[in-house]
Amino acid sequence: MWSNVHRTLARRLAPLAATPLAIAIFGIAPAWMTLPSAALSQERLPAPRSLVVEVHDAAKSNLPGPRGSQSESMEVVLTESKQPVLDARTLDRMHWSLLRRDLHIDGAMSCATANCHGGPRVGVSQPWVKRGMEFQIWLEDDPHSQSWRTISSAESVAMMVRLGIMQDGKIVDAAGFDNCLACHNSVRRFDEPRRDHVASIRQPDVSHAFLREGVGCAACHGPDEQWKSSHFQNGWSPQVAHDEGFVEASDLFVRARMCASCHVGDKDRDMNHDIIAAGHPTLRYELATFHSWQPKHWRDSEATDATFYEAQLWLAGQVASTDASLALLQSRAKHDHSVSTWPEFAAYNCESCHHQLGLDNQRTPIDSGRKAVALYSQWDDSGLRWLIQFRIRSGESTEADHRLLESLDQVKQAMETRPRPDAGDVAIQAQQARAALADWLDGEPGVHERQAFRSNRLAQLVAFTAGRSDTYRSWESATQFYLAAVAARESWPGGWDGAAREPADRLQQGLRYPERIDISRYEKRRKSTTASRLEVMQLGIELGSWLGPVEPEIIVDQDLQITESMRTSLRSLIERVNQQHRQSTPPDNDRDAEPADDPSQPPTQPALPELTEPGRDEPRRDEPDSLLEQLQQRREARERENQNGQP
Amino acid sequence: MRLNLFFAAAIVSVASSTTLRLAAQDNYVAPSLEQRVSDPVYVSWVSQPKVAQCVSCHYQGPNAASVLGGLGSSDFSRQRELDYWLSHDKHTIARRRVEPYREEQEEAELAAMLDRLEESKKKLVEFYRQSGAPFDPTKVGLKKLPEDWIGESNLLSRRICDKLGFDVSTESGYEQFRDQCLTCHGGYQKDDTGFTLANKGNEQVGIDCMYCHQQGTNPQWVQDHQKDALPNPDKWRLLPAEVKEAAGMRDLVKTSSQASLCLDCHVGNRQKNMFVTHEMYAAGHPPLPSVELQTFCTAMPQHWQTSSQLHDSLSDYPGRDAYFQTNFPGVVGPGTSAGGTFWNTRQMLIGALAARKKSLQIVIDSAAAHPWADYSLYDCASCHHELQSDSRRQQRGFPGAPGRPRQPEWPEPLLLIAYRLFGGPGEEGQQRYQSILQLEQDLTRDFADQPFGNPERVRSSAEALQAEIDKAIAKVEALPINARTARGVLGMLSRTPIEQMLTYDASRQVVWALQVIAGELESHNQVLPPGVSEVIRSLGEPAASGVEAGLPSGRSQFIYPVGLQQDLELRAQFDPERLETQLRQLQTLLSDAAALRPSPQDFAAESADQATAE
Repeated sequence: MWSNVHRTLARRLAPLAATPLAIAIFGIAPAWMTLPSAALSQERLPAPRSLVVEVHDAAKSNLPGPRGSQSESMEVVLTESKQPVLDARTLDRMHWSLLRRDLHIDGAMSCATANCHGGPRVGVSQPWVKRGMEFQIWLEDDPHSQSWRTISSAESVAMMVRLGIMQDGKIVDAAGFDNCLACHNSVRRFDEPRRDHVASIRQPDVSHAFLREGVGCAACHGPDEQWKSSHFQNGWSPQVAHDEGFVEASDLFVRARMCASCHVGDKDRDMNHDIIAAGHPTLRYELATFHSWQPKHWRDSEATDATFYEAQLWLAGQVASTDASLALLQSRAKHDHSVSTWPEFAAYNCESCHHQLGLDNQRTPIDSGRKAVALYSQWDDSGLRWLIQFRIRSGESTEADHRLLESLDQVKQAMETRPRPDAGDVAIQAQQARAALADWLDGEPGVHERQAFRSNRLAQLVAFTAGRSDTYRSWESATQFYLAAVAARESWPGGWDGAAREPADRLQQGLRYPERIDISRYEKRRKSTTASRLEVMQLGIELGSWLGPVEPEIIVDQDLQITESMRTSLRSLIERVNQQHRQSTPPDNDRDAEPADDPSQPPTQPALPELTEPGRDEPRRDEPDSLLEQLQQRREARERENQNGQP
Repeated sequence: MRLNLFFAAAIVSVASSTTLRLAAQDNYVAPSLEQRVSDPVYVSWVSQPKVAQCVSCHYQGPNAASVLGGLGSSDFSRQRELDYWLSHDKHTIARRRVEPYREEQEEAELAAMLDRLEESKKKLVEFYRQSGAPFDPTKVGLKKLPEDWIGESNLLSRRICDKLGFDVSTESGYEQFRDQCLTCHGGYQKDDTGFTLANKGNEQVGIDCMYCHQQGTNPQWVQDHQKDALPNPDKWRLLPAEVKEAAGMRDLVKTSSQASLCLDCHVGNRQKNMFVTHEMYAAGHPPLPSVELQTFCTAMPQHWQTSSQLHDSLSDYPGRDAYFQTNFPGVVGPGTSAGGTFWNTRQMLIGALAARKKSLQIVIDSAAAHPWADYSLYDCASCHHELQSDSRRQQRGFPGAPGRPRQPEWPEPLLLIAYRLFGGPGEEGQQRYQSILQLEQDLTRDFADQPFGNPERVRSSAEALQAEIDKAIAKVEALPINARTARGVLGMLSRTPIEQMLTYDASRQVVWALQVIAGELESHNQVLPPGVSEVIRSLGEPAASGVEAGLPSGRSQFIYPVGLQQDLELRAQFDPERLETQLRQLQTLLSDAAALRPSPQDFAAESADQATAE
């Protein structure tokens, strides 16, 4: 589509000033690389407003809500989220239009005229038409158009009630509701007046005043107030488009960042742990995967270059998710948003806390280097880290690579210092990491990878990653590994159905992706269909081996190894001492042989079993049946004793 | 010195063959002399000055000589407390169990221990040969190293120390272990000697008598209670607790005072460095179980007589009523008798209040003097649970924003009942009940207000609640608790809503409490509706309810690794709906019996009115 736009632009600009050189310049420096003047001048930004919201009587008594941000009076002062500020050193410039508050949205219907984007479907009545039916594809096939239905569902209402956003069918926490709207609707504000002035915010039933359409055109392409009537006219340059709030979604990296604003979060929208606990699924953004699921109402010129297309989507997605997660983290740490809390648990790996306790726990045990606190999530930056490590390994790295890796490490470290990390420190680290990422993308590594990153290179990266134990550290990173392997499928030997397919499918089943994206961890229960870490590791190495040379690290569970060696030492010591002190005639004084009717003698436990069988690196697990049997036996023994009374 | 003490113990042991069985509840068979001499724990303890003086009276039980000589009744004391303790109680080897295993030094230490055993054996053989007492030297000795002297738990302890960065092969590393771990696992208090790396082999292998019974540093009571016991038993026994305390003896007769002592470790006490941090848990420390005081005491096994046992033992003693009235004002008095009091139920209720007080103190201390938000301040299960859509937690709703770690949930079911008792009858009682509930809710809200709670707000709410709980403890401790109260509590427990039993610990708390009350009703010959006893028993059976009511108690039961593994499996598989189904069955059985159907208000009224009802 980028080249389509180029062609269109070239055609349109030709009468004016277009020369091959100018077009080339546009190609090198697309609009998002230049800063929109509106954002910098801030002239058009509205002043923060206080609003009066009609609240039902029943809600009055309990208005403060969980966040304590509202007064108990009849008049609720909306605590508006701060207007996002463009950070020029970051990738904000790519999707800045989506963060602007100064532009109105007219809604998808205004795009849907038959002459524009609501034309007949391709291949039906006018087989020769290539485009013009974007609206229909969106409306009929695209889940984004169903987003309003989602947010109105019984499940969503239950979530909003749990969150204190809704009470007795009325919105009582407008800021919290806006946070939902930010991703589930084109119009992102509860109090946004309709352009047709059908209702106003001063009208009692304000909740019905705003436009509801799900995730419509403007949610992705930018608020259409200014470009609605200009974007088909001659002279609509990329710079003008950008100034007018248009998102250059034809650029895969801009598109990736645009999607990530909702699918990861951003400085003005936060799907946080409160919302997850209320029932919202966790966000697991990976662009290559999501992109292939998305019914496309556009055509990408890159799509014809198969080994380039998905690899670039994967790369763009990794860059975007890293940047969006850092922007979100920064806003959380700075308490920029009305729903911000600190610490924000959603920034952590779910499974680092959410697991049952057990002796066979498959998480990394604490060592001297780490406190026993939650682990920073690996989902959003794993892929980018792998790429940098791959570049380092192949001798391609530049200073920008090292700086980015280091700053990502510092974010992680700051988040894992203690239960309540220092918010100020995290905010600074996150901002620096964002800047380092922008430098990386704009600098030599980014320029190179945007040209050279093809599926064969991704396949090499996957093979390299398959050998690293870190890859399997959590379900999150293991699943990202699987998705990276799939994004390289154009380079699988023998194609998509070649030899790599089988281990890939088994890996998918073992990780239970995607149906398990909100119950994200390795197997715990023996009869589970989810794979254990070891199984995932074996499958990962098998899959990676089809894509390139895998050099498996010698993976040692040091903790287990030390414990086992000590256990061996203890056992042999006991054995030795017993041998040395064994008497020729064993004394007949066994305490176990005390009178059976001794009520104060607690029942003896079964002898200590061998916890580890040779050849296994996991503690032995008892089948539930045998466990119950054991417990039943203990119970019966205790009852027998109880019959003889208490001491 | 040591040798003399050792012989003192040995002399007492000689008399064991003539042990009489006096108290009805004491059908306890002591280990044989040979077994004792072969037990490193016994040999280690009887060499300790700290317990030597206790041995002569509290070891062997009343013997023929003392009874026949008329040297005072043995009814007040079993005179076998120390034997219960040494032979069966896990506390006695609390330190030994967690001595970190050190490969390099362990063998020499074990050899030294075995040498000591051998040496004592020789001396005793000679001693008994001369005294002519029956003693078979061929039966003395170890077949193998006992598991409670060295085993898996020592290994676990070492690994925990490794992960916490305590190098226990050095004196300074061992001191870290001592300061953080031996406060509970050895009764270590600041400046105690006997807790160094050098002497770890033999001295102080666990909690000694004085740790619990001595208050402060005044040892006067040790002499006083001996000196007075023989010629004039009443003189000491009938003294008020304040006088005994002034002489340095801790008042463990008073339930809340005893509870406070036990709960220092079993709930925690940051001021005394008795606190399991999340880092310790993550390094491998087993989860600190929820605690129900009465159940835990029984499981020790209890080396003292319960008040009802004591009441029976003292049936011929003219000072019995005076003793109970002195120690339990309000509980026993005009119109109420010690014999009709439900002591176990009472201990359970006071224990619930005392545990709450203790946990609030942890919160207050944590907010004031420690980095806030150690994960161990929160209910393990509030984070450590499997993720599930439309889970019970979500259905239950949230006290504030969803997804905020909560305080431990297990105290709630018993606490609410104790609060009802505190409230008492009438409108005023209802108000008192509501106001303490409000304080609980305030604190809950402060915990939910922001992730991990706002420490300052949490602290002030916790202090307000704690002040009210002090009142509650004082009031409940002075209430007569009789059969009607017990039946009322039983009925209320059977109606515990599932929302209060979502965690394994909370459910087990309900099961323990039901078993305590049902057991006590039966022991008072109260007729329970048909089927009730069976259902209550099955509530504690994993196969039936998913909850294991048994505790790995006693010297020969080990928490790690088998017991812990089973416990964690039960937690992982726990389904509150199974327990709820059974509880509703119990509720039906109980509601068929009119006597067990008081409403909460009636119940509170009854418990207060029962002085006149009796």
